[in-house]
Parts: sequence; structure tokens; C-alpha cells
Amino acid sequence: MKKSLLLPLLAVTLSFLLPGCVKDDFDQPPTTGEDPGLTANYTIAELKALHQNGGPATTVSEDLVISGIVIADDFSGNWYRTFVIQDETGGIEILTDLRDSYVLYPRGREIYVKCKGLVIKDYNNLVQLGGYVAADNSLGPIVEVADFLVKGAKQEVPAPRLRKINELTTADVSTLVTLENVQFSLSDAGRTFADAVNQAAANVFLQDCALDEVIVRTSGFADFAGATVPAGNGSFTGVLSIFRNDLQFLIRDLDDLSLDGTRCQGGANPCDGTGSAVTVNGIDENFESGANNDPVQLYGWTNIATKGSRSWQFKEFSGNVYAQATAYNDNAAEMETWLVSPFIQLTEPLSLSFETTTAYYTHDGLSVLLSFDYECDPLAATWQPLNAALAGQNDANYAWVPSGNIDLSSLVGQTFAIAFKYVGSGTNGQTCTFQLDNIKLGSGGGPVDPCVSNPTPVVPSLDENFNTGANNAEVNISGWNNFIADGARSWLFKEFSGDVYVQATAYNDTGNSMDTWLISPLIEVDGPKELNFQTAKAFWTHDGLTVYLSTDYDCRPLDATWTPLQNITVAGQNDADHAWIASGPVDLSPYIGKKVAIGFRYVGSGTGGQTTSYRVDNVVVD
Amino acid sequence: MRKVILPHLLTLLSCIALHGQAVRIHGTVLDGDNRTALPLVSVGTANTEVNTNPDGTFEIRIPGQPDIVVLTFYKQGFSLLERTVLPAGRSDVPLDTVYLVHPVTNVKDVVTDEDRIPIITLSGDSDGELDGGQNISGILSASADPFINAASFNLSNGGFDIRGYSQESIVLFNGMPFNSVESDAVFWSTWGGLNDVTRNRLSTFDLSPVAFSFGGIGGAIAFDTRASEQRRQRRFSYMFSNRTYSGRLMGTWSTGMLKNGWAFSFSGSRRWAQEGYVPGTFYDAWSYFMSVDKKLGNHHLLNLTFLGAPTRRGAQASSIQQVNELAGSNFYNPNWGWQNGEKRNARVVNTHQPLLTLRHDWRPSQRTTLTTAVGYLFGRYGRTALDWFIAPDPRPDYYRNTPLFLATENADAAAAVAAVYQADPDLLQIQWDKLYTANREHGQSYQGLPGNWSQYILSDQRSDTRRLNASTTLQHAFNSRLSLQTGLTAYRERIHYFRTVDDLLGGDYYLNIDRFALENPIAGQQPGFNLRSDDVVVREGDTYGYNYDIQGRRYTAWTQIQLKRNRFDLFLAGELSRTEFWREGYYQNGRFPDNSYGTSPSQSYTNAGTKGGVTFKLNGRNYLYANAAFLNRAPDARNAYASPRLRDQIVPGLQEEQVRSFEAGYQLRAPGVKARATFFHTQFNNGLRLSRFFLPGDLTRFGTYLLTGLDRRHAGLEAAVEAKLSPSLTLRGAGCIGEYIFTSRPNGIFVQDDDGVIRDRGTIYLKNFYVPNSPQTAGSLGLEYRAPKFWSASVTVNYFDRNYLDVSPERRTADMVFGLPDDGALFREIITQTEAPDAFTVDLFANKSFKVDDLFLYLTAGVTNLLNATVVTGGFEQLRFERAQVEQTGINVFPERRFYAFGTNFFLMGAIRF
Repeated sequence: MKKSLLLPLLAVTLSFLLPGCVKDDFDQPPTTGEDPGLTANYTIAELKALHQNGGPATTVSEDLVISGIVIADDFSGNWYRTFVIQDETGGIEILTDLRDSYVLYPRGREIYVKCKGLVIKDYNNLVQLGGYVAADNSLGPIVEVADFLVKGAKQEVPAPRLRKINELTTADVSTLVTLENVQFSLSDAGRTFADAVNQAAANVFLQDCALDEVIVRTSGFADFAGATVPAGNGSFTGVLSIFRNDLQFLIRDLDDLSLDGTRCQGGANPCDGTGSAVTVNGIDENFESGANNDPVQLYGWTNIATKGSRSWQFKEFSGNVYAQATAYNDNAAEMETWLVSPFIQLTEPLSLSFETTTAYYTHDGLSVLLSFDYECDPLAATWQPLNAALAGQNDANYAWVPSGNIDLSSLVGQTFAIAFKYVGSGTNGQTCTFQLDNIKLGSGGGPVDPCVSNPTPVVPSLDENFNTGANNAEVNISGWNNFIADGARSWLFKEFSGDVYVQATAYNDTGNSMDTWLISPLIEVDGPKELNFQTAKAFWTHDGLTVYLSTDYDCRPLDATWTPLQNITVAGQNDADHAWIASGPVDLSPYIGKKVAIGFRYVGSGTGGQTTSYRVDNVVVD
Repeated sequence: MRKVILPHLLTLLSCIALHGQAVRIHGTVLDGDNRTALPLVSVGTANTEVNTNPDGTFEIRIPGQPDIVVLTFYKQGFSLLERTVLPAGRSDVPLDTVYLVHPVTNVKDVVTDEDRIPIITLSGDSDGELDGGQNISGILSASADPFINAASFNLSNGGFDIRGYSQESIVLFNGMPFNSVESDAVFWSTWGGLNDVTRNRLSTFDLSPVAFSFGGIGGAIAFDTRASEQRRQRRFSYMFSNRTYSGRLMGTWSTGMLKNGWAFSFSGSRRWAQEGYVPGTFYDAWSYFMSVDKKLGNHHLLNLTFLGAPTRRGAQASSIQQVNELAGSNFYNPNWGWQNGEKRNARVVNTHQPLLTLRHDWRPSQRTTLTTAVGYLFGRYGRTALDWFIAPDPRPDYYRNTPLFLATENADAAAAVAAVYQADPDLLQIQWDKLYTANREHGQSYQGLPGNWSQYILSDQRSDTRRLNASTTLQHAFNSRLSLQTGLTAYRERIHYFRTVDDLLGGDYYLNIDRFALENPIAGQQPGFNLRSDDVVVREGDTYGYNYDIQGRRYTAWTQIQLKRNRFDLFLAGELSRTEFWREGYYQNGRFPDNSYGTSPSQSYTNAGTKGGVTFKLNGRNYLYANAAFLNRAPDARNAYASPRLRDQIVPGLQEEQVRSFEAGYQLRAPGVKARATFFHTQFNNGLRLSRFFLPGDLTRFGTYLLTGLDRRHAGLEAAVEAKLSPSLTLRGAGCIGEYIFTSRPNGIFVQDDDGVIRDRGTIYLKNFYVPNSPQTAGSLGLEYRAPKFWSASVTVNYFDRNYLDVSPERRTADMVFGLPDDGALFREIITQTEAPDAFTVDLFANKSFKVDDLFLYLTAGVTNLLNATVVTGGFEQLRFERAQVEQTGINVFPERRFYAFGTNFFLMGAIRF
């Protein structure tokens, strides 16, 4: 054979062989799951019917298989170690031992539950499926999830049931429900859904135009807990839940809300009775306590946006602080915001005075109003205008215009409120700014802030052994603040063998979460000082006690910045019950020249099994 | 590669005569060193082969009237010699005396892979996998094929495995198969440091026939340590290097066959390093070797060989890239820490596995050889590791200690911790003092027992092998064209797995109790590791934890026929084998009292394989050939037990693997140019892969993750050329473009450690993923200058590309990606296989020899990776993966770990021979 034949021969040979070498793309797993080939033989409604609310836990002994599509998971954090499935007959909450179970059981996935061996129990009437009954008689989660929960394919999430608030029944519990034409109550609008900072749950109220109301509860761990509750009207979707006899909704995330329409009017009092009214005999408000650009928040005053999202703000110029409202650069079609005074009870004839400015005048956006029936919702009150000189078209920009003295002497003996209402439209050219300052009624006597009237004392040293307390009494020591951030329980005095100490515990607490602080007086650190204290624990289930230090605390715990103390020893899991553990010295010399407060914060959950008792004694600073 | 390696089968250049008479060529072959006659030298052409007589003479007849005849002379231990003969019409051609010389400048004989390739142990969760494995990859080659030369020397530095096979070759030691029954692994370190006396070897790397074995898919290597085959010499050498060891002294004395029929060979060496290339890796090894031959009459030869290499060395572990960066080096080694001013390594390999072989060769005639051998391997193999009771994980790169993990919770804290580590990288090492303090000062006591109950100890994980082998091989040539080889082998192997307390680290005792069982009790289980003993207190030297044997037996019979014709060669071979293995437990484990103690049922498999091939001799220079093999084979005992430390549970779906392999190629052998191109295609079906780790999510526990029904295909084209550009200048090029991919979607199964429950993990979408950890494109180009004045120098440039890291099966399940957008970033991040960056390296090598009277002096130097390139030789995704964490924080706390080739490294060696 000639050599010239070789290469072609080789090429032909290889051309037969090489196609085997052409690689296809990398394999890709389907993102829609795989059908496990199971069939349900029971419905969720049938399963729930096996349990009687309030009765003992029901253990499933038959080979029952239910299936449902996950309608809510723990992705946003509003559910924790829990997800909700729904079939045509109803829905049920399933407790698992898994964090981030949404990876396995996400919204829209069909789940089969092999119920034999699982336990049905209700938590204050909310029926749940779990794995066992815990020692405290609560429902424990499904631990070996792979034995009971079989993951299926991706499905459409069931269409929400369309209901009105007054049509909701317990049959809708744990199903997806949509409400149309609803809005959050005015007192809740503008607040946050929950306390994201302290991770405490909160309730807000949802109302329809007939003023039927339902609770919307949000966990402090939800990633939208710190979001502002919208003020508008529209549609709402959530998973219905129940606590005792109260139906309540949980939303999955903010996409469940479509509340940007105009609020409906009506009803006399949507105020829910939340917040206590503050009544004063006079006013002297110069706004100097505020910080530039913060929303106006004054003790006893209401600052609310009733259209759009903007409200009154503190503004500072050349050292002077005042209140300002403006629609300039606002995206909303309409802006309406109210700054309403505390209730004023006139005991002597007085006149009202204040100052206003305007800038870039476009319209008369400011009005001053008075109401006798105002309670907390300005839209629900009847207002009458007050005749005052207000900054207007002919005034120079930012020139303060005195209102003149408005005689209110005819109102002696009556209770009323005064409102400063701004309207404008950023999109419609009504954008001029109004500023407000130096509101005076009489010679002063603004609302009394308890933190001002009874400020936290400053002490040079501390030696608190709590021995003045009486067993089981709430801690109430002069200069100390026993403060409940969440739940109903606070720190109690406890006595054992003649020694009195303080204790916090969520044991047997019926609330979902407990968060309570015991805060020392302010300690003047004027030289090297040391903090020492003792802690003890009992019946450990969790690390519930954290000890903080703050250098900016002044009576309001939630406004202060708290730093957890490092390198201290706090009684923990491995310590004997009731054994006093010394904290070890905490060197306060980094705080020389400052005033510090020590906060003992207990967080627990009586229903969540976080029930460790914590004790504190012998808090010494010198 | 095929023909050169087996010279007595070689079919080299020849002219093909069509008609006419024969040419008789005759001459004498002498040893170039001492001018003594060399018997049994293979003298061959493409079609004919003869052996030299005891006086070194030979005579060969070539049919027809060829114009040109190329004769090949080969004897084991000598360089291959080719001589071109021009008969010019003569019918009787006497040749000048032929001198065969020993190869002296072959760099492969100076350093072996064991010396050059980092020795890496996996750390972390998948720790258990490598027990007893001596993961020294690569193949020791004495081949003359340019591709194999490049692959085994230059390319292996970049993690290159020939054809992507990690371990597919059969290794024989003095005729006795040496692969483990349990895992097919080869303990290369058994003869570590004995380079001088392990040079005699025959090897193939493909499906071509070999005379001494059926061979594996990746060929076969046969070591021959008979004293009479050792080069007669006294030789001392010293090597200085910055690799795994810094110095090596070696001495060898071989007598050759003495007149009284005896031959002796002795060798020994010492290798040491205070610290090797990788921080914290010391090296402390000796080796010894003795071989004695006795000729019994003219037809019998007996050999006794005894060798061993007691070795202690500190191991390296790979870590995640972020920690490497904090430490400032890709060679960050979490295994060591400071103690009393010295670096102490927690992972010390301490091995001494002596090997004794007795071999008998009977050569009743020139045509027949019967070789019979028995061998016994025994001794210890231990690897130390930290162990701890209920105490924080002491490993410095434990994931919870890394800034990467902290960053998922608090980015500022993570940055602060990273800064602390960067300021003081010693904090990234084991804090021995803290472990001692914890044991001594916070010492706990167990049930009031006096002394301190160590919470941290150093354990020694032993896997001591005892293996008895026997084999017999018959080679017979019926005539010059038809030959037969056949053999029988038998194995009996016990690998004793157990753990001892190596160092109590300042405490006084430890407990033989399963802390996991203590922490997470399961009804019906007890936490004791051994219910047969009431005494749970263990002290240094005591066995604890687990204690069992994996035992096995294997019997193999094989036979092969080779036919040589003028135009083509044919061969056909078959093999039958039976494999049995079982577990014998010496502990009754408290978790599994019913299936942990005593002898388990035996698993047995009967397997068959066949292979065959044909070579077409187009003319004297051009050859086309094709070979194929079909095998089915027993699963490895290594993969058969779900959790052998605890119990004898067999993994579900244990089955035989099927292999089909095919190769076809072209070979050119012209004067001055050798070239070869081979296409290969091997399909492995029904494979099993097993790994042990922590599975988060719905199972949240440790266990064994199995892939069953795993198919893979290794296909590609390898080519090489070696051209003499001038008498002193040689160009060598070699390259391979492969595609080694998985071709099935295996089934994932998880066997839970704590209760043995089997969980189906569903389909693993692994099809078309790359078989990991070898560059699938690699090439090298070298130029060698060989000066007439006994010196030579070479430079080689190597290129590595398409090396893919090992993938975690759990990340390729439908569950892991449920609900993600198909083309979303997270989906891609989860399933995409990482490709290591490509790399170029440059190697230099130089050599000079002197002769002073009868004394030879050799100086050799080599630099590997001259430009200090970063070469990733492999790596793996950690098997644990937390999707929610990645989704929420963007941080994968369990990223891949990579292996790196050494940066610039060198050796200098001087040797004298007399």
C-alpha cells in the first residue's frame, strides 16, 4: 500500500469513530419536581375532622395519605418551621423540624403526607399536623420528615377563596383567602407590620367599608416585618388562621397586598381603642425636639397621611426646627396629611397662636381645623375651620407669618383637638411647601411625657440585691425600668431561702412570645468601674437571657442603642439548675465620661417551648 | 506504544519479501558495560523473533530478498537498540558485535511519581473514604513510547491520567498480581525509595496483549526484581530536592549472576525532610531491599525478594479557596499547628508494609517458560487524625470557624475575623496548646474515674493489610508464529481496619463510646462501640471506635493466543475470575448489635472477560491496529458496605460493572521519526460510586451516598511524535483530546449512618457531566539536546486544559432546584460543573556523566514548573450544600476544594557507579 493512501484511510476511519465524541449539553434536573406516583386516600377536611378542637391530641393510626399544594411556606419568615397545604376541601398547617423548609416544601409544590403515626392537635383552635406530643403537652414537629412527607411536582397554587370579612368561618382556616375593597385601619396605616428590630410579632387591623374588621398578624421574624402598613384600599390575600376565637390572617409577603386605591369613608370610630388619649390644658410646641427630616412624632400628637404616603416632617434651618409638609416631587396624585394636637381641655380662657411660611406658592394647601369629636381618625371626625392668618401667595418664600391670636375663650370646659391639614398634589402642580412653628395655647403646659416627668435617675454606683422586693411581685424599684416589649409578662421578684432575686420566665406563658427588659438606672462612669452580677437558670430549653449596655438610654428602651455585653458568663445549658453563676467583671472604663444603663432582657416563648427560667441577682457597679 | 513496550512481541520495520529465498543474519550481543555475553536478548523483525544463546550469539532468517531489514534488540534492563541491515543481495549477513547498554539518563528512573506528586488526604466530612487508600496516582513507566513518556512524566504533574482512568491497570510484582482485592488499589509506597532495583518492568497502557497477564483496561505493569536481572553495579546516590522530601541517600549493590549460580542484590535508602514543599509536611522514610537468585541447573531459577519501606510523613489537606487566600498560599495545610516551637502535623501517615516473594522460573526449552510465584504482604498502615468527644471541632478550617460562614450571619464580624487571620495566619493552624489545656485544665472525669478524660485525642486509623498471593504463568511458542500464554492466580487478603488511641494530648484516658449515639440517642441503641467489653476506658495504644476486617479471595484463570503473519498479527485472550469478600467484625457495636460482630455473609461474583486485536502491517513502517475488550467485573469491597465501621450492611444495588473498550490507531516507525495516533473509546456501565458525608435538609444526618447505575464513557484521541531533527536534537510532542463523561442518570441512594435506613434520593441528573480530575486536553512539546560529550539537556512545555472538578450528586437532583427559574443564576450556580483554569508549565532537565577509570559519575538536575504556574490538578465540590443559605446570603459555606500541583520545584542528584 502506498503511503499516500494512509492519511485518507486514517481520516475515514476517524470520521466513523469521532461522532461518538460529540458531547451533548450538561444534564439539567427539572425544576418542576417529579411525580412520586402516590395517591391520596383522604381529604384534609376529613383529616381535620378526626380531631376535636380543645380536645386531646389525635394520633393517626390508619394508613391515611393526604395531598395538598403548599400555599404558604417559611421563605419570608412569617411562618417558622411550618408550612400550609390546601386541597379542595381545606387546608392544614404542618409543623416540621426544619429551618428553611421552603427549599423542600415551597409554595406551589404538591406534598403527600403519610399520616400514620402523626399527631393532629389544635393550638388555640388552629388545627396543626405534627409529629408528637411534647412533654408540655404542646404539639411537637414532624422530626423524621422523610418518613411522612413525600415531595411531588409543581402545581398551580389553588385560587384563593373570595370572601368578605363577615363571611369568614373556621372552615376557611388554613386556606388562601382574598378580600376585596379592604384597607388597614388608620391607626395602623403608617406603622410597621411588626417590630422588626426586636423581632416581636404584632397585630394590625384590616377593615372593609362596612367597618368589619379582622386581625392581620405578622411575625417579628418576617422579612417584611419592618415594612410600613399601607393606607390605601384594595385587595388583600392571606392565609386565614385563628387564635382562640379570633380569626386572623397571615400574609406570605407584600405581594399579597394590592392596597393603593382611595380609602373608603364611613364609620364613626375606626380607632380600635388603640393608644391612650393624651389630654392637656395648654400647648407650647416649638418642634425643637425633632431631628431634621424625621417624621413629626410628638408625645400626644397624631401625624398621619390620609392620601398618598407623605406626612409632616421635622425640618431644621439655621438652628430652628419646625414642621413642614410639601407635595413637591411627590409621585402620588394626591397628598393629604394631618398633624393633630393632643386633646385639649380648656380650663381657662386662652388664645391660640402659631407661625407659618410657604414657599413656591401654588395653592392654599394649609388649613387649621378644630374638632370636638376627634378621637384618632381625622377622617372620621367633624372639623371646623379656624380663622387664622396663614402664609399665602403674597408672602415671601419662607417668611414666617404670625397667625394672630385666635380667641378660644368660649371653649373653656370643653375638650377638642386642633389639626393642621395639608393637601397638595405632586403630579398636579399643587406642590408648594408649608411650614409650621411655635404653636402656643396659653403659657405652655404641653403634654407631659412620663419620661420627662419621671426621668431615669443617674447614680454613681449600684448595689442592687433586690432584697426589698416581695415574692412574686412585679419588679418595681425606683430608678429601674421593668419594661414589656412583647407579651404580657415582666420581671418578678422571687424569694428563696430568704434571698430575694428577680426572675423572668416564659414557662406556662400562654402568649406566643415574651420579651421583657429590666433596666438599671443610669450609672455615671466617672472613673474606672466594674460591673458584676449573678445569673441562674432552671429547666433549660433555650438561651433566653441577654445582658446589654446602652450609653444613650433615657427611659425609652426601644429608642436606645443596646450593645450585648461580651465576655460575660451567663448561666447556660450545662450549668446546674438554680446555681448562681458569676458574670465575671465587666470593665466599664471604655465608657468613662458616659452614663450607661444595663439591660437584662429575657426573650422566650411559652408556646414555642422556649421556657427557660432566668434569675438575676446582686447587680453591682463600683 | 503497544509494540515497543513488549519487545519480544515487537513487529518492527521490515521489508516484505514476496518471493524467493531467505537472508540469514547472525551475530553476537554483549553487555556494553563489561563486554560479557548477553543471553536471552530478544532479536526481532516485524515477523520473526529469536532469542540469543547463552554465549550471546543469534541467528535469524528473513524470507525473501529484502533490500532493508531493521533488527530490534531488547533485553529487560537495557535500552532498546535498532540496527538497520542492508543485505544487498547477500544471503548470509554477519553483523558487527552488538552492545546493549543500560539507560542512564532516563529521568523517570531518578524520581518517581511518588516523589513528585503531592500526597493529599481529604479532610472533613468525607474523611472515611480514603482509609487504607494510598492515593498516589500515576504510573511508573519504563516505556519508550513518546506518548507514555510525556504522559507519565511531564503531564502527570498537571493531574493528567492516561485516558482519564484513575486506576485501571494491573500491577504484577515478580509475576504476582499486586492490586488489592478490596479496591483494586496498588500500594506504590511499598517499594518507595527503591528506585534502583525496581527499574526492570514491562508495561502497557492500553489493550494490547501482554505475555504475563490478561491485563486491565489500562494495561499492565510487571516488576521484576530478580537479582540476576539487576544490573551488575555498586551505586550510591544523593539527591537534593524541595519536593516531598529534601534529601535522599541511596545505595545499591548487585552482583549479577555469579559463576556459582548465585546472584545477589541489595539496596537501601533514606529519604527525609524537616518540611517538604507543603508547610507542616515532614518526611522520614527508610527502605531496604534484598534479592537472591539461585540457578538450579540450566533450566531453573529461584528468587527470594524481601523489601520494605518504613515511612512516616505528614500529610497535606486541601482547603477552601477563601481560607487559602487568608493564609496567603494555595498550599495552606490545615493539618499542622505549633507546639513547643515546632510544627506538629495531626495527620501522620505511618506505614511499613514489607513484601516477601518467592519466585521460580523454569525454562525447559527456548520456547517454554513456566513462572510460579508466591508472595506475602503484611505490616501496618496508619494515618493519625484528631478525634474528640463532646467538644468543639478543633480543625482550624472547620466551616463554622471560617469568615465565609460568619459572613452569612454578620459581614462585619466576618471581615474582622478575616483581618485577625490575615494578621496572624498561625491562627489558621491547629492550636495544640488549647487542646492540651482543654484536656488538662478543664479536664472532665468520667464517672469519677481519676485523671483527666481527654476530650481531644489523636487517633491512629489503621488499615493493616495482609495478603497472600500465588500465581503461575506458562508461556509457550509453538513456532515462530503461534504462541500461547496462560496463567492462574490466587489471592487471599485481609485488611484489618481499626482505630487506636495514638496520643491523649495531655489527658489520661478516652472512652470507647460513640458520642453521636450519646448525643442523639435512638431507641434500642446503645452508645458503646463494643458491647462485648464492659471496660469503656481506653488509653494510648488501645483500640477503640471500630475493629473489623474486610477479607477477600480471588481466583483468576486466563489464557491468550497470539498469531503473527506477514501482513497481520492477531491475538485473542480470555479470563475467568471468582471474587469473594466478607466482613468480620471484632466489635459488637451498640447501635447495631445484631449485624456488627462476627463474620458477615460472603458476597461472591464470577466474572469473565475477553479481548482481542489485530495489527495490519501496511509495510515496514506503517501499521494500523485495533483492539477491543469486553469485561464484567465484581464491585469493589471498598464500595460494598454502607458503613463498615458500624455494621455489615451491604449497600443496596450492589452489582457488577460492565466494560467495553475499543481502540484503533496508526503507528509510524521510520528512521528518525516515530509517531502514533490512537482513538480510544471505553464504556463503563453500571458503576457504583460511594461517598460518606452529612446530608442536610430532610434527612439532616451523616450517611453513605451511593450512586448506582453510573455509566461513563472515556473516548478520545491521543497522538505523539518523536523526531530526530539532527543526530543530537530530538523533538517530542504528545497530546490528548479526550472526552470523559458520565452517560447515564444514576440513581441516588442514601444509607443513614445512625439507623441504617435506606432513603431513595431519586434520579441524579449527571448525564454528560465530565468525569473529574484529569485534564481532558493536554499536550507537551519538548526539545532534547544530547551532546556527544555525555551530557544532555531538555526543555518541555506542557499544557493542561479542560480539567473538571468532581461534582456533588445531591446538587443535581430535581429536589435541589425545585421552583428555580430554569435559566436563573442560582439554578446555574447549583448545577454547573466547575472547570479548572488551563495552565502552561515548563520543565527543564539536564544530565552529565563522567567516566574515571571504572568509576562512573552522574550528575542530574531537573526543574519542574519553572515559571511557577498555578496548576489545579483537581478538586471537588463539597457534598454538603445548603441551598437556603446560598439563596438568602449569596454565600456557599461549602464551596469546592482544589488540589494544586507544586510550584517551581527542582532536584539535583549525584551518583557514582563502580
